[in-house]
Amino acid sequence: MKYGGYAGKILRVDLSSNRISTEKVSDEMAELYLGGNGFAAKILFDEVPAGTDPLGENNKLLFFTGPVTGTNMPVCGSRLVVVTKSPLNNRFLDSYAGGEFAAYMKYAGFDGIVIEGKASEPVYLWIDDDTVEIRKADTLWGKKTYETQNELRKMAGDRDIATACIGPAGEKLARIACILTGVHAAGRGGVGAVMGSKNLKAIAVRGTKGVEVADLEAFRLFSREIRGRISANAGTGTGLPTFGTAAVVEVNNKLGMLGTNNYQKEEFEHADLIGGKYLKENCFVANDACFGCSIACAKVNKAREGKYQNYLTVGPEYETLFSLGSNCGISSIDAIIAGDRLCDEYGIDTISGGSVISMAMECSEKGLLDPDSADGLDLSFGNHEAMVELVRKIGEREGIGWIMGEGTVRFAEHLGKGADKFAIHVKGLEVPAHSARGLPGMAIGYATSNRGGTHQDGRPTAERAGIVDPATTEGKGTYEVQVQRMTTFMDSMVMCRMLEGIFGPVGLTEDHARLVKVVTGMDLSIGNLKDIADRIYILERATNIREGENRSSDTLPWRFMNEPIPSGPSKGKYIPENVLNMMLDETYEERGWDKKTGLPLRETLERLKLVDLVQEIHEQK
Amino acid sequence: MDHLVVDMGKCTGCGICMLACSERKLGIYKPSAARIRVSRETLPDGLKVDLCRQCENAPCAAACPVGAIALNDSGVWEVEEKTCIGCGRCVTACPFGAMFMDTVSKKAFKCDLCGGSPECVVQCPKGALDIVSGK
Repeated sequence: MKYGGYAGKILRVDLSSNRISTEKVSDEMAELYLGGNGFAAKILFDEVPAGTDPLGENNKLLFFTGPVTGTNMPVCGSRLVVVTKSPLNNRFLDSYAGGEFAAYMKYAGFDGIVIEGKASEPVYLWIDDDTVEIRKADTLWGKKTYETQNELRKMAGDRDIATACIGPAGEKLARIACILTGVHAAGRGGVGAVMGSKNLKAIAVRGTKGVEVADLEAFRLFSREIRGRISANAGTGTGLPTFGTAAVVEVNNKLGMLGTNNYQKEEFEHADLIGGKYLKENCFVANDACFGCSIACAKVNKAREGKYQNYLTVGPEYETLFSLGSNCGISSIDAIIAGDRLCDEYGIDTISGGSVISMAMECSEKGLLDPDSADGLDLSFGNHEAMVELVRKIGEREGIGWIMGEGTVRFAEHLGKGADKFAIHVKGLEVPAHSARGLPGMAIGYATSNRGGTHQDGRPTAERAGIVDPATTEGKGTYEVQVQRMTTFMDSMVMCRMLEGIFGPVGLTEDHARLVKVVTGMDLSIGNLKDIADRIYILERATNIREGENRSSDTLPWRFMNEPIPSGPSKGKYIPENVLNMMLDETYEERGWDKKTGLPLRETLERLKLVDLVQEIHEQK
Repeated sequence: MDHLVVDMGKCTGCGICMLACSERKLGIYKPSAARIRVSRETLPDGLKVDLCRQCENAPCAAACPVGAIALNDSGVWEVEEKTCIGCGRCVTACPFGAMFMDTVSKKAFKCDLCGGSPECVVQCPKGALDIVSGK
């Protein structure tokens, strides 16, 4: 391969036939899809046809790195993307994790790992540079995630390894199961269930090779400049290193945009008891960083005296403080720490897990779920003991935890009686902690995300910071496309979202182009990067279009379109259908998609060198 | 004798020291070639940093059967590559896990303090690494 940064090889493991092979990454692949999410989206589209059962043998599970992975570019060292067809919503899914796994994969010589088929018994994958083995995992199966990873270190006789694994929730195919890697999670969309369906308990990797960039001197200069800008920035230089993402609790509550009691409200009277300042003063143990990160936003926290004494967790992050905290009406930080730790141990996505618990609480409040059907639990908002017990039950898939582990949509079907109004999801993926009603750009970001309710395609940042006016709706469709182009690019390099304030929170910039140049040697304009991002986003959408997606899929939860925020600083805000439609029109216009159908136009596909898709999208319909 | 020290209260486990080290020594990013190591003995906590103490009576030098490890002019223990036979006794002897073996060239390597201004100290974003004089 003529470009820098890449390992140049993809590892392919077929667990059905035990066949292990490698293939080269072509220059053209890098030019068209950049890496990470781009590569994986292309492979998934080509190799996993419509109608594939996400938990069946024919789904594939892809672990990918980007060209910048493993280098010394700060906050880019080791972000991992996991791509598959989601068992939660049957769509294209990309899920991300920090840690060190991606870097070690690259050091072992692989830009990506493609897992195919299904093992006949529990196995784990051992990668030691070029030596790749499928090994029995009978002694690991059933174990929780930290024990599994510690055991893998012992078995390897080496602590210089990186590991990724599932917990009991993934083994038992809970559709909200995540993959833990080190102390981080590829949380969203049920990647853990796909891993479980393949009988793959874990991957352990030792990598001793190096990563070479295209222009070392230019790279050094740029990486030092970026590190300087990170230190000088209030968010990345002070806020995140001190409080981590937890400080967003206070910020969003002050704006009246902190989801509370299953998003019935967006202000939480006890926000101060679950926020960054409170955690720092009462529970803080140590700072923690992903590989190659100069920020270190992760905080190790420990519960205090009482029922949850000695629970220690890396986190809880802002999302979890919302999902297991304010959105369940819970003000006990110790219980949230315990719930976070249990989610990690069982391998449960804290966002979807918390969301299904807050939904159960609202259904109980509305009389749709009586204590007998809820294993005798008192599901009142604020009952932290019930929350922690439900996390355990979801992890064990026990009692009501079984159906709750299937996510909010299936839980609503199970309950019936109009419970779907209380399932706060977009396209089947539970909505995270950023207000759709308060931030119209975030709302259209949710509605047009290819994976559904995620804050990682569209972003809340520029509106929350006031860089873009949060009060306006006009122009937000166009604005959010710029944001999604930026996130698609970041996901393909693959770099962490914490850099959006450094490289630019709205669209693609000269800094993004410079990063590509110093790492890979590709001399690309902002326009070229935009095309790459649009190409990848269309490919993801095409994966969904084959499953029946169209304009009508791009919508929001009933609550956000019909119930204004009832109180607080953002009182009265919501996204009525006509506003959503206006923003959708803008989005499709900016993207070159048909406003009526939401499908990419023929000329757009041709311009982006996606001619293969013309037939797929326009001639088979 | 000058040597590296780490303040574990400040270390976040980011491993930038390893990237800085291989960048300076080899011009590539390769933690396995770094003269300092960050790892996790156990999860979720359990960070560990292995670094050379430039020991007064260095066990690595004492264990070397061919005298390849010697003090240089600045008083830092160095491996003389052409003398090293790759037996690995120094790696076993080091109580701090700070002697390493290049599996390809079969030569031992270790921290030489970059001639007085260690790149890991320069690049550590949290100021957790420092160089101190004497014991």
